[in-house]
Amino acid sequence: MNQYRSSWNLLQGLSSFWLVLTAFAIVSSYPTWLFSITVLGPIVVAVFSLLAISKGNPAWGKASLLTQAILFSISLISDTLVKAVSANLPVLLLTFVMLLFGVEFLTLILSRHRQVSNWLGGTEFESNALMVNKSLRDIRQKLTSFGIIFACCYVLTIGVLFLSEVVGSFASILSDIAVYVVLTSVSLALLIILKED
Amino acid sequence: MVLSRKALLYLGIAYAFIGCALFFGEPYLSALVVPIAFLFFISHKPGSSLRTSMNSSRVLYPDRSLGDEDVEITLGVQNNSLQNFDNVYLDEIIAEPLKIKSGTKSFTMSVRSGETIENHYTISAPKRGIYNLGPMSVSVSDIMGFREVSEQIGNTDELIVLPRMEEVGILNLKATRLSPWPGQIPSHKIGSGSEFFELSPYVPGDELRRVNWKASAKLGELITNEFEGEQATDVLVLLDCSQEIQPELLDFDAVEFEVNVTASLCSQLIRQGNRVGLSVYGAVRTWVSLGFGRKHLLRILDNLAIAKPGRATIPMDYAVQSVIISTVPARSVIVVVSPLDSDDIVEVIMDVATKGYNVVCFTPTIQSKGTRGPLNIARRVLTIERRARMMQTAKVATLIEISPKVRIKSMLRGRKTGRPL
Repeated sequence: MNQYRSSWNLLQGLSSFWLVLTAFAIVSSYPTWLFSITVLGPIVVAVFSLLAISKGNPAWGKASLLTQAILFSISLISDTLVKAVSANLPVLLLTFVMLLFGVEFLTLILSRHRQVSNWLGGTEFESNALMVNKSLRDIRQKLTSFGIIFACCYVLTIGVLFLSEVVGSFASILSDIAVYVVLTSVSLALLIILKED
Repeated sequence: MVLSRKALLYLGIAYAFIGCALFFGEPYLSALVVPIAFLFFISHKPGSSLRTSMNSSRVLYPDRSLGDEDVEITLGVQNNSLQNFDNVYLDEIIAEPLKIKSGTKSFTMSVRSGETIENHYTISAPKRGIYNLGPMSVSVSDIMGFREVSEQIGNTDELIVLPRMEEVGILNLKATRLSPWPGQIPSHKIGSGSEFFELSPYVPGDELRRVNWKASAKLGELITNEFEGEQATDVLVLLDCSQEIQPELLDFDAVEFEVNVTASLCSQLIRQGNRVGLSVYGAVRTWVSLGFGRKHLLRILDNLAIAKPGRATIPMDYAVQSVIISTVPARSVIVVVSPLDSDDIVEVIMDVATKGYNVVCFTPTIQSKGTRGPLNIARRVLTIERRARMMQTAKVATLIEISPKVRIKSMLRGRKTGRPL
């Protein structure tokens, strides 16, 4: 049981750490006049994340993710207003992908929280140990998969941007159009996927 | 197959990025759509029909609870398809009053092809009744949780919680009609009982240990002791759940108490070798014909498990008498368990008694509380009315008052020893 407990505590700790890290990554690009949000934002995220993970309450989890989303929106708007999106895009993309990974991480932990925590609390059947073990293994496997998926997301987007830069260097007038072309293709692809359903 | 709320939210965010890019004239903003699009590209259909691809099983222990005990449930889910399910959310649908004591009835798990998973949980001692467990609600989604298939799989099982029984001790019934099979009612005939009955001359074949040597020496011939035979009788237990008393007037659940008393009496009467039947008059009207044995007792308890307070659509006298006439031989014993809260039941008792049945009536004691106010006045009126009915009943039947605070065994022991009911 100790082995499961330490594994579970580690996963919970990692998810909290990841959420706070994401919040710090988002506010790191804030201008100085947003100093109060830069300080308060990660603290609020940390508190909500700890409450969500310790109590297994999805409402706190949603609050934590919503706070991060607001922080990210502020970052995006502030960059847009000073026309610094293209310069900060790698960081913006990274924080966005980190945010998406955080959503999956927190969802994984919260969906298994009741089952694993109750069992570790000693109020459950010994025979459910197999299920708990499987749950922990599932979380680890999915984290690995998500890690790969989101890393690919980041690399792919950077790749798309690089391609648009290359196209732009050949014909500067196409620079903006290239991005729109990529986007229109993606939007159409999304529509095709939806139609498939 | 539908897109989940999560997928719709992500799509909304993606289009919001595109909208912002167009609105602010900042094309690079739309690069944030690419990660979302990539997530949609890798999500796949989780499966078409879960009913054919997943099997579920459920084991209840015990499947028939005697009350005051927790029920353990083992759920098994097997993936028969060739596809691996990354996100399977399982939720067992259980009847509303049931409460989970330990474990969980809903969980998220991945189920590989051919894999079986087992989950255990406990329901804390439910009240008497029949509860449905299942079917199981299953939602399967892809790894990103964008596409979801939800269905209900598996069967519904019944959890029967029987009434609580208590030891009531030996019931000395007075019966004018005895059955041929052995029991515990003195038959006033020579038989294989334990009470001395008379002396008789020795007949070859008699057991030597029955020879009364003193009497033989006095009379100069071999004399043997004869014992009184003990036989069984037929008993119909009639439970009156018509419940005209307002529950607020009582400081206990009268129907539960009566059902428990009925179960205890049936159990004891069957243990004493009698043929026992049951008739329940209430919102659910049931009856069980006369019979012996453990299986028969279970049948009676199953019928008691579904007893509910209320009035049946047909009148009580017709309902009861049709059961008595069709199932119980004349001069048998009718045990009535009733709060005597209506004149109907008194009429039924008197009618049955005049037909030659030996009637024993168990009725719960209703104690008035020391409080003042309209509730106490109502309680006093009820007590007076009941007293009148009890006096009427006592003229034709043996009336026994029972209290939920005192064990029935102690109350029966308080009566004169050996005096039949």
